[in-house]
Amino acid sequence: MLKRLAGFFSNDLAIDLGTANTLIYVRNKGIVLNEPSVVAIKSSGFGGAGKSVLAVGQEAKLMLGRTPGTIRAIRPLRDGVIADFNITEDMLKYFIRKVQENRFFSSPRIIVCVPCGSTQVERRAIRESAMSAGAREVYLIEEPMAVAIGANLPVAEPTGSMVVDIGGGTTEVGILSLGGMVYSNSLRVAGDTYDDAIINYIRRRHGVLIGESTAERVKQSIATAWSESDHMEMEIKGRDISEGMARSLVITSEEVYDAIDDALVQIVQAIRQALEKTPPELSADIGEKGMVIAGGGALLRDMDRRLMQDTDLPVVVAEDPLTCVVRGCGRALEEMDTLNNVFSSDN
Amino acid sequence: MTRPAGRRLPVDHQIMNSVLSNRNPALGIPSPGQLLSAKREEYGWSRRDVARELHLSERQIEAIEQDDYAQLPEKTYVMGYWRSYAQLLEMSIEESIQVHRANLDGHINSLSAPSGHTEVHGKVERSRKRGALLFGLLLVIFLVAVWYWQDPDAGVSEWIGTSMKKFSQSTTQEAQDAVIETEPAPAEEPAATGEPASNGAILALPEPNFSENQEVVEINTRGYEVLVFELPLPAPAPAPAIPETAAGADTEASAVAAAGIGNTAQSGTPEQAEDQAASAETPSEETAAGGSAPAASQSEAIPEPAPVAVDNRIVFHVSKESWIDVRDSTGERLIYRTVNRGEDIQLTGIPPYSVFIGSAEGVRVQYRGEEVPFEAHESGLFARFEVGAQ
Repeated sequence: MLKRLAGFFSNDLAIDLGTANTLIYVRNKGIVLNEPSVVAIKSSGFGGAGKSVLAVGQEAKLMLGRTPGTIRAIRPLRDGVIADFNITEDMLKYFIRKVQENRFFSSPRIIVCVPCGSTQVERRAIRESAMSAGAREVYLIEEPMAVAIGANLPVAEPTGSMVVDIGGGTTEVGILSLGGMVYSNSLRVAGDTYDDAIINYIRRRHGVLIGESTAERVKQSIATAWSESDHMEMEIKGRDISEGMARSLVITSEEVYDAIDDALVQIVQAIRQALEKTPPELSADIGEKGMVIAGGGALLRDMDRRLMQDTDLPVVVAEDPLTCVVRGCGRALEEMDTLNNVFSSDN
Repeated sequence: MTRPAGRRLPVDHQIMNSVLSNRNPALGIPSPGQLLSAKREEYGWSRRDVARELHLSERQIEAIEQDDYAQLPEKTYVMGYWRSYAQLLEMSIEESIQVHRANLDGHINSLSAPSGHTEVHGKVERSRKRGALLFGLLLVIFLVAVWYWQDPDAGVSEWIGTSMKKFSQSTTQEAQDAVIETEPAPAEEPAATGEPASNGAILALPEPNFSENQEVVEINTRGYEVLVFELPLPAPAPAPAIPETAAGADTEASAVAAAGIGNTAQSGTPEQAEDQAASAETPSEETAAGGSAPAASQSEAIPEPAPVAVDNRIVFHVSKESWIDVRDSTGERLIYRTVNRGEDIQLTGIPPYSVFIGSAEGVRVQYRGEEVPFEAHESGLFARFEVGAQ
């Protein structure tokens, strides 16, 4: 009874709790929040025993790698799942409070998307985190399903659809038909892996240490997934490992391609594996229409060309790939009555 | 097939203009298929070349160029094909997408009527708000009905009166433990009122009538305020005993006061307290008729409340914020709270008292008017000692 009453005063939410960014869709309003999944924690007291949240989201992201000893900028999600439960809970509470107009007596229903490869323990952690943040009911939806719904694919039709979501922590591959997942696979290789690969490459090749933020800028500016892409270059600054001094260098798109190629090969292998395990009828559908790619990884230059070349399939980049997941969650929220079979269970 | 070298080119405005001149009259916008087809022909590529690059079939390329959407899959795929095709032809993708989107939406809309989704949502939202308001109204009505059902005969004023009575009863009951301090009365008081010499002290709830006599505000063990007022001190003259019947219940308070028992917290309802106060202020007829009745006989006539000797009083003078915990010999906790600077606390119970003080340096203790040294019992900030032991 009370839950129903609380429902009158609450706006239901759909959350894409991503490793890199958290997006929130509010029912009847659309996407209202898109902030980095970063929390800055300030330690206080003897031995840093007391901890308090200093900043969340964009403000906290600016602190990454630039904090003094008493402050830590943390990304509470790693590989698409919760790495630090308490901080994730604080972050969720902050975001939910930020988007809720009516904070008094508000207890929304929340849909959270989870990687299809997440364990039951990880799903329970996400569910409990959302419940602690004030949710009345929590529904989980697997990311490939959310991508398919967000990209307006015919998930309920008797036709095969293939989606690849290359996010910050995980790459999700899913084949869907008749409202269900025929095959799904989650690979812990994605945007963060590219960053790490770029950092390691520059350290090995040039003897210069760069931070995560710089690596991310390199990735977004000149990185390419295709060997035949146009040449580009960029000047970056880092710390010379041998001299300990700041040094600038120019890095080319070919170098970045070399750095991230191993990660790309793993993604291609996961897609091939999915195609091998797909029933023939659905394979024919996918061969005819192609696959849809979404997530931040889909914005990597010529990613579609690389996948076309390596899989011999048409590749379509979803419209606005960064928000595709949360749009799918939002549509599931709006049409919960008709799409109620797309939610997953953690029991 | 060879791709044109160099960077991606901007949109070829010559081709765009030629296509615009051949726009679809039904839609009023240039066909995306025509744009792509014209650009492909400019490069001299065949449909097969494009199909091989995009991993699509020639039939699909033909359908794209001829805007034959029946031969193509869903909108998402079609838009993706256009984007890939435009990218391959090194057209400006953004402009191309804008053109394609408008054209595709036109086709989609012509194939499927608009669902009116937004309008439906607006209606749902409005009806939801109305429902919430209605529900809230019904809830309030329900709560009022439940309240009335609990006590249908009681009006609002009666209900308030009952509540106040219950409150005062409980408060009076609590106040039984309080000790009322008496002081010598001002000289002019008896002369003005013409009362018989009697020293009475009545416990009462805070009432405006007593304010003029209010001298000391004590804090009892439960934290209620007990107002103490003074009455003229009786002359210690022996008086003949009056019959027991002469001393009615109404004169109980004055009789007790005359007996010198005084200083006793009286229990009872507010009405009783008022009666007692009235009788104390203006002597009853029986008392007046009987003259100065012997107090001793009256004290025998009435049940004597447990007297608390004034000499057992323990006083705390607080010069620094602290906390005090005092129990008497019966184990009753006389005080247990934080005390503020400048506060003077008087307590009475049955000695010996067990005293426990925090921040003991800021508290002085007096027992029976004498200073109690307790430095020997201080341990750090705290002091724990006993007072009044024989």
